[in-house]
Amino acid sequence: MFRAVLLGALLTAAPLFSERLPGRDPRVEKGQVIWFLLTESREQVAKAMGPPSVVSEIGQYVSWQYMGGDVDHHEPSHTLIFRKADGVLAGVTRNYEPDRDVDALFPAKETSAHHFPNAEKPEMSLRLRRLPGGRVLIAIGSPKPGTPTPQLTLMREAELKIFYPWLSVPR
Amino acid sequence: MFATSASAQTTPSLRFALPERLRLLQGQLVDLVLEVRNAQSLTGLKVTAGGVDLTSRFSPPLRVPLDCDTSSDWVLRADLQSFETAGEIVLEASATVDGTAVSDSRTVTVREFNSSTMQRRNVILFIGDAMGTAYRDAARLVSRAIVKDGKNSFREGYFDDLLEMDKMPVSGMSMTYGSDSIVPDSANTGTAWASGNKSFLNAVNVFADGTDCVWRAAGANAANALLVQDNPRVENLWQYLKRRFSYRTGIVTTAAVTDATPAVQGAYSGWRQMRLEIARQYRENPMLNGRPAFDVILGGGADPFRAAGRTDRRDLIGEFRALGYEYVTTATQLRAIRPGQSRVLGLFKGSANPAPNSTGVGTASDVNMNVAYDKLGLQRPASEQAQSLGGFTDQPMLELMTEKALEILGAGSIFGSQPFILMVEAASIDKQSHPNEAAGTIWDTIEFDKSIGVARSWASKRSTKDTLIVVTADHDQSMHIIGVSNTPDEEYFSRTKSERINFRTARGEQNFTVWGDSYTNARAGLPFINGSTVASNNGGASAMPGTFEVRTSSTDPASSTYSTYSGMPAYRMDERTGYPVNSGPGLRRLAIGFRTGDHTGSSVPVTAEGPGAFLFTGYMDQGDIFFKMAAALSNDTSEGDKLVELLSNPRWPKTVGK
Repeated sequence: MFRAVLLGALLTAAPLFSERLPGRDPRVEKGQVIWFLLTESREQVAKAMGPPSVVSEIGQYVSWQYMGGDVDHHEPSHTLIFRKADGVLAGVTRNYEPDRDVDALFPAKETSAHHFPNAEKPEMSLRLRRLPGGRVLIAIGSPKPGTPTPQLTLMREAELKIFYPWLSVPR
Repeated sequence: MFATSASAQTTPSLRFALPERLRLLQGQLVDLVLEVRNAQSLTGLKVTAGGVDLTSRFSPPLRVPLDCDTSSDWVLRADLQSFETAGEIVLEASATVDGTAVSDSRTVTVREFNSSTMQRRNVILFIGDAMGTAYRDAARLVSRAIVKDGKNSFREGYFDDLLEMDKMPVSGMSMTYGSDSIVPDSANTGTAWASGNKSFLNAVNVFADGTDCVWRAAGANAANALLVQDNPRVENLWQYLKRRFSYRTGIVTTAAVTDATPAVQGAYSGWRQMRLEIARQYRENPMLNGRPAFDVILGGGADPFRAAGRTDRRDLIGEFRALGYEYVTTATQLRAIRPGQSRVLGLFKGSANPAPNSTGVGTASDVNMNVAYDKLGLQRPASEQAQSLGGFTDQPMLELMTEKALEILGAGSIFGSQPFILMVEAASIDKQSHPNEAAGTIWDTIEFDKSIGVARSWASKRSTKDTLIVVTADHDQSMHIIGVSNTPDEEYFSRTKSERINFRTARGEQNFTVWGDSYTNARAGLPFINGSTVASNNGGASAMPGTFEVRTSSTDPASSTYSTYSGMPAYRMDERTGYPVNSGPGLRRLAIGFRTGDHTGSSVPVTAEGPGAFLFTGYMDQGDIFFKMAAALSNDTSEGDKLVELLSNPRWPKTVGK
């Protein structure tokens, strides 16, 4: 039953998606972040990004890694994680080297800053923006405008409890 | 499609987070970690090794989310365990989980390290990072094809004098596969020779575990650093020998000293880029009860040792100095180290303003030393980025670092003469191959060979032949020897002459720039296999053309100067530096090509000399190097050593130049 619903959802999304394959980097159009919807299937991702360099199973996820030429060879330029159980795209991580200015993606009114372990003595900070469709956009190491990020993550909000359990996202 | 593994998600299970073929030395430390999945309750745990009950060594179960799912999981640890009896030991664990009996077992191979036959020998392990056979060949074809007084030292296919590493009597080949891929990186290959066991990409002396999914999917950062550092550790040979036999230990590298290849001698981490943690472990090593990992550390990458470069603001340089280490930052200071100084920290390059990076686990810059080509002041070919030494104009060559490391380690300490184990790495053979910079790569390999010469000379002068020298690579890279080039200097160094080539195929577009010095690379470099977004190579694997139409134009640089089957290389030697130069009349350069800009899965050569060298013959797994070094230190090898000596008897065929 669930699979049928999922297939239906993907088929419904397909015409819209085919008109706008996700780019390697997000962009802003009319205030909206244009990137992955996180409803894309593996086939749609492969069509847009080509075959991944590395595919590996990590826990309940399958990761697809892409090695773009603009990132040090130790790190993938993109990591996409799909849930093993239902194939849903759970998140996309984009690594930048050197760090990238992403201020345009994080308008102040829609953005919150978070610090680990606390704001007084942070070991790491990030900016977070909630996007339509239950998605969140995170800029690691970039708590405020003017601080470029080495890593941008787009993730289903429901997955935060797994990958960022310390984050308390404001409603 | 994705398989729904409902049963796998709900069935209770228990497993050792250890590889199927765990191989250890007697007494080598390893973390025994048990993962219990899908369990609300756990009772009746029993763990045995060869029938001996180890249960009491395990911590109480700790609830830990494994596999990034929502099930209830537990982890039990018995850290830093060892097996004192050699042989095959069956490790068994059993428990009752939610009323269901579960169990797991591993057969651990424990190899003898017999302290009663301990030979008190030294080991010098040379790692040419990415130095596959083509790299050795290139270094030979450049540094041993020297024209002097009208005569080339490479004539009729023979060299007057081979490389230092070529002259070592025993050779073999090492297979470099990781536990999760055929093309490895410097971390898991280093784990193989340093600890004797294979692991996953980017792992430094640890095995995979159930929490890796968090940081491998979302990236390592300060918030998930504990999960990066919780993997089961396996002790490396450097700490093993220091802990059990008071060996002195050292690392020498042209990379940042916290880079993966040096790190495998002194640190333990799931992710090679945990630079701050790796530097901390050099200062307070977990296998040595918090003592420093090394007596000698020489290389680049000062940032993670400086308070300003660290999130914890510890001044590790100051801490090393307080422990009696002499701290040096230039070649001049290194040369001036007084005899009798037994511990040295030399960091020859760093950032002007060190800072932690924004993930909180590394530094903003990982500053490697400059490569030999640039330290020598040679002009870069047109296609290679011109480099600046910045303010670091007095960086030592690798051969000087090797010489001083041997002097310091070989002299022993205040506790008397002690044997040592040293790793020497030429890091930028690899680092220059990634951007396909041939000159940088080849001259670094020559520098590497000179440092091997320093060690061979040092060992040969010792009254007792007590030093094993092993030369190998961590993995191969994609360079090939493809011929010779007559490209004149005005083409080779011109940064104004280049041709931009763009063409579209049914499968995609290829765009790249051809320079006068690398005309041949246009063909050798096609097609790259990656999904690069950079303009020079945005076609990816699917854009490979079946054929490449050769075009000529008025802007086509050096269009007819490359030959596969005609001619020999010819270089001139700079007598002052002892290195070949890359410019001048009459020069005929080696032509090489890079198939990609990345590692490959080819096996790499191993060469050895000294007591126990005979063990390094034939095809071997990279992890065998660890056990062979250990065997050479703990056994009487005289029978085999005599056989190797026989090879120099003139009754047997001798290679020209050897």
